[in-house]
Amino acid sequence: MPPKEKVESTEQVLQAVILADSFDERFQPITLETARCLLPLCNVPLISYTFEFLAVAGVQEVFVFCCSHSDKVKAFVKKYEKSSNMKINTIVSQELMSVGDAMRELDAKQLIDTDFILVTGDVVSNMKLDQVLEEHRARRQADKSAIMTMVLKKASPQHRSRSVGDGSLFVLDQGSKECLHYQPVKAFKSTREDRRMTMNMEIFDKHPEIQLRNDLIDCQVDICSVEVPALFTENFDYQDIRADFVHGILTSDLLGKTIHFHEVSDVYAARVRSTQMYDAVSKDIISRWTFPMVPDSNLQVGDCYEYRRGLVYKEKSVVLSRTCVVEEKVVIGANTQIAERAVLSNCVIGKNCIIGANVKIDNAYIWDNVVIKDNCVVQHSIIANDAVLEQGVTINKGCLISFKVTVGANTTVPAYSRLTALAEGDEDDSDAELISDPAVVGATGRGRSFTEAEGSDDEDNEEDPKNKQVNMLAFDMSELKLAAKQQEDSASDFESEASDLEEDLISPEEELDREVAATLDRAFQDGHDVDIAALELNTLRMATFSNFKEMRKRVIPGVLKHIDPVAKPGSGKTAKEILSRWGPLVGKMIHDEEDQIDGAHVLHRVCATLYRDVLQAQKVFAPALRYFYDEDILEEDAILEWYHSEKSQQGTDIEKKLREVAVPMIQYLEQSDSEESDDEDEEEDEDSE
Amino acid sequence: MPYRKRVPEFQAVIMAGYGNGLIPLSDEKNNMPKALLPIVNQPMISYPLAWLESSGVSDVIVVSLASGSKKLGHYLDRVYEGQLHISMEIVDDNCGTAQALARIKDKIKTDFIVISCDLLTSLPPHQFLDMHRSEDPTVSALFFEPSKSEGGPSGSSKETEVTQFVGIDATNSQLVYLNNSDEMDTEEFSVRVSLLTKHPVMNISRLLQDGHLYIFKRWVIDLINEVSIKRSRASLKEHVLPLLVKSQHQRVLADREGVTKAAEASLTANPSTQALALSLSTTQAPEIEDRSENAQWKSPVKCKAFVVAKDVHCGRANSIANYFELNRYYTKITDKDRNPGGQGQVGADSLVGDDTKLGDRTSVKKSTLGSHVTIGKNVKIVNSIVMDHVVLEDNVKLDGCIVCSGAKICEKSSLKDCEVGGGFRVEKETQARNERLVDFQEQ
Repeated sequence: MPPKEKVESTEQVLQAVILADSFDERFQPITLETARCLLPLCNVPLISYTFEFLAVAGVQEVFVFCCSHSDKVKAFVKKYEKSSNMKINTIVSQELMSVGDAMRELDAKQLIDTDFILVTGDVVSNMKLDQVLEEHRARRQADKSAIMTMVLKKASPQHRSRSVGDGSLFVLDQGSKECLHYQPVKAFKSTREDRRMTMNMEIFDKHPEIQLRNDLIDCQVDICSVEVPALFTENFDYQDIRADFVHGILTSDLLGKTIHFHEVSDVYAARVRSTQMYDAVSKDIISRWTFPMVPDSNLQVGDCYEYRRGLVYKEKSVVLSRTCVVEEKVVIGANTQIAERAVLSNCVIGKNCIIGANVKIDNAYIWDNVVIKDNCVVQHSIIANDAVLEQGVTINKGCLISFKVTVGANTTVPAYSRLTALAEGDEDDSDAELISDPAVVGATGRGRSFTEAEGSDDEDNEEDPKNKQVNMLAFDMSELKLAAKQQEDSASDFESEASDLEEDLISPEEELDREVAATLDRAFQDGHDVDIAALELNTLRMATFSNFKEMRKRVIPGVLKHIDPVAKPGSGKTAKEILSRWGPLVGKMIHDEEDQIDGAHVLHRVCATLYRDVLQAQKVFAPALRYFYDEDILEEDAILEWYHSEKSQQGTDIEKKLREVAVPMIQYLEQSDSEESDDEDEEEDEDSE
Repeated sequence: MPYRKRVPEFQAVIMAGYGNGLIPLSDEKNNMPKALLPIVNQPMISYPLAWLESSGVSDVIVVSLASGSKKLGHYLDRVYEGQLHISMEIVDDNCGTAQALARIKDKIKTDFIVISCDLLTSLPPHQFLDMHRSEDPTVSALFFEPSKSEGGPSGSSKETEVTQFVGIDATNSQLVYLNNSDEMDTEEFSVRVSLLTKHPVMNISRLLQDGHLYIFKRWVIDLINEVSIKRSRASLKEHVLPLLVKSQHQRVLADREGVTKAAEASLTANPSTQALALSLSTTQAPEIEDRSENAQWKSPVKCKAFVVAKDVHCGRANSIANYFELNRYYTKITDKDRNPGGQGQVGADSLVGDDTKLGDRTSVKKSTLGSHVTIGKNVKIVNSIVMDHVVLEDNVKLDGCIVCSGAKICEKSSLKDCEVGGGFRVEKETQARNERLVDFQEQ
């Protein structure tokens, strides 16, 4: 609670903005039925921790932005406000789709008139903000362009409260405490951009000494000035506060704003951004890292936890049977009954739960009013309110069991399942009947398995699904690595040095090789037009500062490669068929006579190397030459020039044999040539006559 | 007591190069090789020699280019009075630093220090050596932040200096990133994320300069040899050190360039004392030896950077501007008791060598004068370096000049920010500014 003396007329009221919505779907299906910020974390709604954190920081007025399930949030806030001496306003807007929208709304409503604290509704922290506020204000006085101070917590890169999928890289100037560059880090770095941290060279002009940091927990606690919401309005495409806003401000020359940071090290700060983080933060709370925000400080009115040996927290009204075993790190809510021989470890159990005999619960989060009957096993999962597990149910790790789901007797729920009791379709549509899926919840069960796509026009479609997976509860990295190996996916595993290196060693030529091959493969597979393929190749040529000669060297084999010399006509793979489809593409790479001669040489050489034996090579070379001649891609002068050149006469045996194939054609050409000239002579003769 | 031969801990190699940045001063024919250019009337090389002597190293090899070897050899033989055991090696004129070292590889028996003859520092040697001793890296390199210049001749040759980007792990001062600006994209600066995972706190500086003072493990000489075979004019700073730094993280590179092989060969030949001690220890921690392919690769290379604290002076006389700056700095801190009195006025921050005569109404400010300099009447010398045996006639004005030995400046000349080559004669009443006054030479 904030000290009373801080409320003085001379001092401005300290305001904070809580973004209660997370704008993502990581907790679905649970969040289909309640707001993210109301999820119980160690039996206390998530947002209470944020309120508490702000109250300790001396905040007097709070604005809570909420969108989905706003009525529930509103009701909770109303109740909470009574026991708090902060003024809490709830702002409901159904149109909010992102942080950016919320900030624009904030700007439109003109609610803020001074520096404010911006946090999300899922922050758990015990840090004090007075120092950073002081720093921010001092900086603002000296320099009006310092619009924001981010609070960053130091940790090691693999810290458990550092969310795996949401890492971030910061480039800082330790002298001026300025943040110079921000880049998010994905767990799976499938593209080159993901694997490298890239920043503008100009940063060095002003800051010759910088620090690259990959060990900071960014729990998105920001001290913002009033310009921040305004900047969101100006740049209406900003969505995320980090990836868009911070990145945009730091890379923009026009705005001239600076963003600073404040590094804290001895306090706790984390965000419950994913189920995996839910797990990590819960454990931190139970292990008292978040002190004074621990279960036995009873944040909620009416709670009365006592703290016992082995990090066990228990309400007075809990009924423990004589033979049940409560191992380490357990929280048990009021009026819960635990039957004989049940074994509980590393878990949180809510209020009014009934746990049957012989039940084993490990690493699980069981919310209120849950009934778990005899002989059940629950591992590393979340089970929401009013769920029922009949006798002998096994819940494997990583499951999310949503509200009111009933799992029938002796059912085994596979790992990473998500079960809901909501009817399919629109969540507001109460008429829809729930169709239970007995394969998932057993014959007597109630519920169905939830699939991600429903009810959400997913905007992160392009995101690597693996990056989503890493945020999941109980997610095991080793499993994924194995899977990735099996798939031989191009997205290399976590820290693959070798693949990183290869990319450095690749010469521009190899790069071009690869790119051309990829472009051609695409064209063949998707059946592009020749024009489109040519356009792509041309773009590639310009992008790599290459020339047509280099392109020919790669395109001709690329096309010929698809010819199968032993294929039967009609299979689409004979020389004739392939060439009539893709031959014009080669034509696009050939312009003048010099090109033609070179093209003929390339064709000659490629045929000699591409096929296993002379016979096959001849089968391709002859029709190819013929085709190119017929289509005027290689004109007769060029072919003759090639034939008589020294270069074509030398070379390997195969090359020599291939040249012989061309002999009949050459003879024909020479003949027609002389005929033509004869004709001309005759004409001339006629003239002269 | 039985006689036991003391095995020296380090050997030292002083690289006495040509001094491209110091032309025309370092012109052998007219003046003297770079190593002998005076800084406060002491040859430059005497500073690293003194530094090595105080570090306790006794075996020193001076590697000189053929062109300057005669005068340098004479100095080391006859003039030098220190305790070091010095041997001199002469290498071809167009030989990179790595090549020069490769030539003398048979003489390197222990871990070795490589120091440039132009490094002047007040850093106590033990600080740097102790870091190497305790951390036991493959290479320790010294970096410093050059002090701000107070102005003076920038050297009429204004070469744009290549800046270096030095990345040092803030937690253990490991040197993890090294890149020259001329090899980099001018628009973007980029680092691998995997590097940042290994070194989550990395300081990158553009200000730091390589001090060209390294301590290498013995086996690196084999690597140097290999690098110098692969490319001509291989240099320590530009080729060997970056290779070592990269080999810390890039397995393929380390294998391909033979770094791994060289390191392993030395390890089998003489296992590290630490490993030996561990293997004999009864309380050895159980080490999980995972030899499978997937096991995290451990690089055989570890590079450490020692960054000279800001209040410790460090500088390299590798350009005229730096040479000038160092001279000024050392003039300030040198004892000036020996300055002659007499008619001329010598400012407090100036130094005048032996047997130098000052004429009437001559004033010397912020300058260093060598020995046997003859100075006429009413001469003004400000901010300048005048080497031995120079003759300055009456009414000469020097401001921000370097006058090499044996030069003669005739009366009433006025020079500002000029370099006067050795033995050059400046005609009377010359007015010059920002010029390089040297004999025309056929190259």
